Amino acid sequence: MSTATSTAPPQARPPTGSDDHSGATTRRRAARVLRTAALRGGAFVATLVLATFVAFWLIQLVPGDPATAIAGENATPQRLAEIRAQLGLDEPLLVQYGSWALGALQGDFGTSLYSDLSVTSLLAQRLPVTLSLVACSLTLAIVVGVAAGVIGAVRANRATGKVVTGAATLGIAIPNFWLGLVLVTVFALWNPWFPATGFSRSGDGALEFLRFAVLPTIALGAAGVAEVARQLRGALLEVFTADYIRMARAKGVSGTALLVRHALRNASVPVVTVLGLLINRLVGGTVVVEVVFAIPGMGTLVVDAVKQRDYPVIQAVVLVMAVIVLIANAIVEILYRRIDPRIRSS
Amino acid sequence: MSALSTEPGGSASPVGRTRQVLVRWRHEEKTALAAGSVLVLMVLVAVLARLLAPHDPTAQDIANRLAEPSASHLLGTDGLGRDVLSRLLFGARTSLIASVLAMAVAVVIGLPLGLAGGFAGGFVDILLRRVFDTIMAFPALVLAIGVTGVLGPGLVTSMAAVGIVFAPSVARLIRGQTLSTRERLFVLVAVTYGSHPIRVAVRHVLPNAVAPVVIQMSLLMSTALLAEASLSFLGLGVQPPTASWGSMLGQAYVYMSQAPTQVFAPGIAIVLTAYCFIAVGDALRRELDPRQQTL
Repeated sequence: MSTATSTAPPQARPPTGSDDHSGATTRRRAARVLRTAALRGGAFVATLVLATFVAFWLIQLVPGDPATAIAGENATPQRLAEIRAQLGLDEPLLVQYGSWALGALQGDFGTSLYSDLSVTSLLAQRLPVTLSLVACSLTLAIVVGVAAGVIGAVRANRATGKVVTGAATLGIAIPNFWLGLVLVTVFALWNPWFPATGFSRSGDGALEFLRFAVLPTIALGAAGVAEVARQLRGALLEVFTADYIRMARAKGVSGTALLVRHALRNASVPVVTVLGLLINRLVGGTVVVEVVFAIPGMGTLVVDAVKQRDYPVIQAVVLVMAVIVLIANAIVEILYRRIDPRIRSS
Repeated sequence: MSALSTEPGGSASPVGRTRQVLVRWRHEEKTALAAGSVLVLMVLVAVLARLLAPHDPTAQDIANRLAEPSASHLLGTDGLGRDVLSRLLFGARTSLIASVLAMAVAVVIGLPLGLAGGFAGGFVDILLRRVFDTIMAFPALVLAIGVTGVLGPGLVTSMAAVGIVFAPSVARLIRGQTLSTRERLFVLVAVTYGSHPIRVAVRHVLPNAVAPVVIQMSLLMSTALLAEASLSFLGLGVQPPTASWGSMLGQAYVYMSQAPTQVFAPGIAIVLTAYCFIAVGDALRRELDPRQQTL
């Protein structure tokens, strides 16, 4: 039993150190893990620095003089000088970047040009709302997506499987904000079951939170459900043809055990990969969904900032969203390494 | 084994091979064939919008705003009294051009960089991969919003930004293909005979990497279509009075409490088109890369 149930295909094991647990091997392995961690950590920091540069460089795209663009054509020279000083536009580019990045590192993104509030305080108000919405949608995507993917694969040649698979393909074609509009029309305007707009404040209680969060979560998460389902179905179908599955089946492992212990574990590798992509999409998609439901999150913040030409806010939101995605991807990669022993050693 | 299955089949001409595939698809890939036909129809509609549209898509008739469907306005009128059907037909033009633009930017940037990274290896490869990773960390929509926020709204700038964010996915694909093709015998032979590296890359490596890129392109078209819709919905893409499906939804949102049914037609057009791109892409993947069912 034990050899047949080892979940990874045997040939995928690294040639060294899988049977032998002597001290030297353990040490060597620890050194290797440390080295990988250091390399990945270095890459993470490098990407982070590059991301700050992209966010900083955005403002350099402003056609003409940014100060004039902000204050308008009729601004007084004093006002222009004030804005230049505030944004540090008089300094050389590298100095500007240095001071901006140093500030950003300490959580200081300057002052909103529109509201005169610090950008950090704006972010602090909006970030929890957006994160909770993304977290809810991600949970929905994983739970429902995995269920649908399993049904799609196990019943691949029957009507249920085909319907689920067709629905999943349709699901990734539906724009999240349109789904939001349709949900509002049906479940808020025609049948007033849920509020059409807004979000609960902290301290309102879980029920109130759910009442506001249900429709936006479905709107944002539906495409994720479809994506996870498609990915898992494809991976499962491929795994089902593998020798070790046939072996386990021949040994009499029952359907559920086969699915959970053998197939799902191996099929989860490509699904975990798609999670990183999914988080990126969810963070991007939340912008439009927040606008549809008038949710006071980062999305509505950046859309308003674009309309008001509030450059420091735009920069900060773009950077913070990239950092969220980077951190999420780093977590996904750690998960990936835990799940797939083939990656761990390379 | 995958080396054999991705080998171009025999000496049949591309046209002949396409015909063979289409004949087979009539039985095996009915959905994809139907989806492909819908896409051809969409392109025709986009090209012939001026002939097909019953009204001028920008002509306002305020007295007759938010009208129910009728004989003269088959899908009714919008908040400014413009004919919804005509705007839908012209919207196909805007939406398709925008998607092609984003996809073209992605391929034009991603293809040479992926080829260069995979073929050159070493430091160039590491540097390029770091840059790709960074760009991919930015949600496409957020970076496009940031760029339009700075450059000002507009279809070309916003979709170019979307294309730049998509470029790394093309580049990664090409890079992977290049790495596996680079070691193949015919490439080694070409190198040994002293072919210039760029010639080897373009003549020998690239043709073997085309299939996955074509699949990726049809999926990118659907993603770009959704991105255009989002940006125009927010008012950052196409500018009034030009119609796109996304900007029509933006209009419908404004009048939502008065005329909630306005959100349906443009949305269905987006879903249908995006679905067809995905369905065709899936079928192409099954056709060109039978081993790999998923991304």
